[in-house]
Amino acid sequence: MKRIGAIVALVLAVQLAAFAQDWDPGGTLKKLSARASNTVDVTLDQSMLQFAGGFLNSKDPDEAQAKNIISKLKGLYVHSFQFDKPGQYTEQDVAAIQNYLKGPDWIRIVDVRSKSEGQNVQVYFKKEGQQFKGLVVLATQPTQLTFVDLVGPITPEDLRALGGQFGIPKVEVHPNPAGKKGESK
Amino acid sequence: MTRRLVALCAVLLLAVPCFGGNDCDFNFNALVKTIETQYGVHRARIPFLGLAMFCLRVGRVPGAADFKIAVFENLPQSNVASNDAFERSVQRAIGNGWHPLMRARSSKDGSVTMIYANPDEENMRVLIVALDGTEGTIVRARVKKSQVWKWLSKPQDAVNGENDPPAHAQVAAAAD
Repeated sequence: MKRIGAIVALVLAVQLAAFAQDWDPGGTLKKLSARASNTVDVTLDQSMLQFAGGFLNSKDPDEAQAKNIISKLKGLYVHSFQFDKPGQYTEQDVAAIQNYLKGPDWIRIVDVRSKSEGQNVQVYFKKEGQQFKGLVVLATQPTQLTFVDLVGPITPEDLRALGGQFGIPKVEVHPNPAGKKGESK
Repeated sequence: MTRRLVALCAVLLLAVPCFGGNDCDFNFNALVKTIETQYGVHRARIPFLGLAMFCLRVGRVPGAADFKIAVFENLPQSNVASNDAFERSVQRAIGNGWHPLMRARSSKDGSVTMIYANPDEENMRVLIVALDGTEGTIVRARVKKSQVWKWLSKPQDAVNGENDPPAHAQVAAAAD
């Protein structure tokens, strides 16, 4: 009986570990994937991030800083969904994701909304105690939704340092625990 | 037929032979067998592929090796994009050493493209699995780290075969 309990615990532990690696808030991403016309998933686990970090020049100050940041990360997961026409994903779908980012561990640092283009971008940092543990980017357009989950110690200053590299836009971030809107360039 | 052309283009662009040896530890044939069994088809024979591979052994691009390709035709129409079963069977066949790097799915035509990577200190091994309608292609290659940098930084040079990677990338690769 103890052996069965141990096996069950092991299976649960493995599943929880997998959940921690590639997060799907409330299974929303899976639901969106079923409705999207095109889905792209990119997975960069720790070994791949280490490999990518090997390309950066330690003698260049900017690249050395980026290399140092990347070396500490545990994973980067990108899920992008493209829809045929507006309305195929709803505000409720977005809210389902945002609800998971309203907990006390999460701080919204960037909130950009463009009414003319219907484009919204929000950046959330995960904080445990005084330590930053991850980052989520939620970007929506009428026919596209992108969810980026970065796992590992990354601070708003790190995000600013990475701006302009690896296709990451330059971002001016000002941590605001109250969850008020930040600024983005 | 399109798949065959894509496959031949991939051969010519990559210009890499299969050397076998220690780096051929991934059982490419196991994946081929998985697809053959799952879909009840056999891999297609590509005309003159043997000759092309022979020529590539002579005129290979430095930094790339261990190239294998398999093409499938007349696959039964099944919307593999709508479920994860195919991806799971591929992952089982190739083992845990390969990391899923990218997966693109289209519910319109049911096509799926999956890219797996297996990096080590000096090389990046890449496996591409693409199913498009009734055709499928599997490509595997091993590329040196410095070559990956070169192609990523200047993709056009991958075709032209010009310029070396920056010194720091070569040093990093050598240090690894």
